[in-house]
Amino acid sequence: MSNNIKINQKGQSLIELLVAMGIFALVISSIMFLTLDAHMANRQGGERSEAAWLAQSGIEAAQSIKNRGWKYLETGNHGLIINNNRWEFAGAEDNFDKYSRQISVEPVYRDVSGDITETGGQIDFDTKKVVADVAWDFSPARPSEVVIGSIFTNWRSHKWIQTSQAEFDQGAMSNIVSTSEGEGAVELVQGVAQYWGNQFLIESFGTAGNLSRRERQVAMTFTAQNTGPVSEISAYIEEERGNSPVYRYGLQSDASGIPSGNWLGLMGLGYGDLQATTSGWQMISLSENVNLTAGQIYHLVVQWQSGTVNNNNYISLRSSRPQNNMAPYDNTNDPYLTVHWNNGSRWINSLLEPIFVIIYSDKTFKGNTYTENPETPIYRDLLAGQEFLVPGGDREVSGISFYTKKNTNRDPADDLYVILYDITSGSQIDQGTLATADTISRNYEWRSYDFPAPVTLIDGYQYRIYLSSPGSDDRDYYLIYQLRNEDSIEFNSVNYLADTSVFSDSRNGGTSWDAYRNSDVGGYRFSSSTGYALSGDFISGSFDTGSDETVYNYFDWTSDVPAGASLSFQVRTANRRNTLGSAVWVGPDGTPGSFYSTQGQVITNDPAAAGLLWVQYRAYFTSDGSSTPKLFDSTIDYEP
Amino acid sequence: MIEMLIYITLVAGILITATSFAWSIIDSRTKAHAAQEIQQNGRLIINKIVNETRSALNINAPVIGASGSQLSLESSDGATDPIIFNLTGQDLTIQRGAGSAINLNSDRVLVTGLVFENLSLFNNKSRDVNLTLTLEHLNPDNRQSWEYSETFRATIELRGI
Repeated sequence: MSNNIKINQKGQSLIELLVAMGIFALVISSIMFLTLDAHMANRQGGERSEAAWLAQSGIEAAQSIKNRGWKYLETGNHGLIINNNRWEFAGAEDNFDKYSRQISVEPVYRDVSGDITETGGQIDFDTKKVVADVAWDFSPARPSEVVIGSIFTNWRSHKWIQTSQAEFDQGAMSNIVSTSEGEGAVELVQGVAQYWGNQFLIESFGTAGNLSRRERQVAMTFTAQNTGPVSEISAYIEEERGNSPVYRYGLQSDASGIPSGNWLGLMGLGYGDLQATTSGWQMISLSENVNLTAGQIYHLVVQWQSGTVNNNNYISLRSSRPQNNMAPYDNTNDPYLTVHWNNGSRWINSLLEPIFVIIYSDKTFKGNTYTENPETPIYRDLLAGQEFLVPGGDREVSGISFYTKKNTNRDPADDLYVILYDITSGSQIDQGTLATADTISRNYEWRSYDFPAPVTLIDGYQYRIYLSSPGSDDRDYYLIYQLRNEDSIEFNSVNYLADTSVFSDSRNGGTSWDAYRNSDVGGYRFSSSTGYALSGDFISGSFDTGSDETVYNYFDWTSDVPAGASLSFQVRTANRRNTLGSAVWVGPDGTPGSFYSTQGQVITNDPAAAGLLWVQYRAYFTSDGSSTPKLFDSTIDYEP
Repeated sequence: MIEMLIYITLVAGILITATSFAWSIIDSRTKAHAAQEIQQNGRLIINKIVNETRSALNINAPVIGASGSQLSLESSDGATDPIIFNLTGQDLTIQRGAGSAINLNSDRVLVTGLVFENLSLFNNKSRDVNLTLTLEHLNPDNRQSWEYSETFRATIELRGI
């Protein structure tokens, strides 16, 4: 019995040992887990602490940027960089070791009580929310982040505010009046004649300057009508003398109203070289496409490239007078449309009408293609005028004007009559005397006839407005200009309203009519005097900021702009009040081609401005005539 | 006899593992202690510099556009003007006015890198100091467990008027 018990106790120590080992392993595992966890917590604490310092430093750097000028605290996501020994925003984030840092600047909105609100409310241009976000990977599976934020206010700034009628009255107004509405306002004048028709005039052609020396340049300056890539350009050679050399034709950006000197294009190859062998239109393919932006100013520059150039071997380009400051196609206002001439020392404005074509890569043509202006006589059975479709809604007109004259000092035997004919309905609407023989000048001038009652020209209908003088003869008669371009689909697409409005004449007293798609009357215009002026501008009084190191932050205003109207602004600065008048008006990108059209936009100064002490703004008003934009107050925020 | 041999082998294995584990724990604890020491010193020093700089009236040194291992601040309190942070040997000291220089780092921490950059604008619209500080744990015996260093960065915009 006792032997059996002894046998069964064998190996008991080993079992106890195994149990002890199990307990030991369990204890060790627990200790290991706790130790590892403590180590991880310690590491995470350290990394979080470092991230928090980076985030706080980001806020401080943003504070430094803000102190340089409120305008530099631009809304958006930024990285930080030390450049020129100061903090600047650069890129969308910056990196330290494994940490990436992003500074977000966000607009702040306030409710009617002035409290900051997350939803709705009105934007407060003097407050911004700055958030610093530092992110890193604690481990590949455990991304970590520290976010801190701060509200910044524009407490250092000053404001130049104009709000009363008396303050507005210190400015200069063109087609603008001040009113006492609210505290005071400025708006377009009423009752000013509005014109519609081809008012583009050409009285003579001439050269834009002989390119008979290497250093001479000519530039056709224009505001781009379309946004898109340009593949070709075209210019009209007035004279190709001798064996003319190779000239370079290309597009350059604008530098305060004159060519920048840099060819446009990604690689700076926005030009083409051409050795002309004849006068007339020359088509030049650019070495690379140039992207133009509508509303921006550009220059089509022509200059000598290679070959013998002297007084016997050169070209000159054709231009016309007068300078119209409008695009021929739709008479859109373009105050920058002109010819510049450089004799080798500096650019000067020749105040001529440029003749050129810009060809976009989609084969859209823009520019001025009129190269002839024959005079058309009006007497006996010779009638002439314009056929047109009424586009974009009915138009009520109260009168009609033609740019006309008599051919001699003697009076024609009959007066000059104007007839409005409805081609669609086949009926004459009105006939009246445009000018009597004894009052019309021998020089071209606008002569007008007022309809007995306003006439509504119906959208989509075709009309003819023309002149006649059946009692006059071929010795003493009347003349109008026929503006003509080469007859091609592309060139006809650039002249006044393309094929929807064309020159028309009759040689048999109106029995039959011919229409010329490559010609337009130059000029004629319907008038309407019932509404507001179609455009006007207000130049504010000038303001002394007290410092020539002023930082201009933003431009704000209160206005009422109805549908069909617009209101935009430009700003200029100078070191003295009397030099302000010659400073260049610029918009938010610092160039003359841009305009402030959104409240609170950051002000960018003209880099070439003579100084920053004095400031002035200009408000551009446009309207469809039925209503007017109203400007109630303006604010320029600045830090002297 | 066989049972005894197995027993001895297993016990020996357990003892070796336990000893090795204990050493590892001690080593890890030493490393963690060094890191904590550095981080606590870093936080203290940066906080001190940030607070003093924010409330200072101006930066005497380094001059605008320059950098150096000394930061001298103009204090609004005449008795503590100027406030100077300086690298003396491998210690970072603070000195207020005519007072004596006091170490900001503990005697177990070495300051092996200190750069103050004056990023202020010449028109004084922005007065800004950018700081880079590197701390290293004292390790005279070159033991790996005491080897730890960390770089701290801070940017401080003065608020004092």
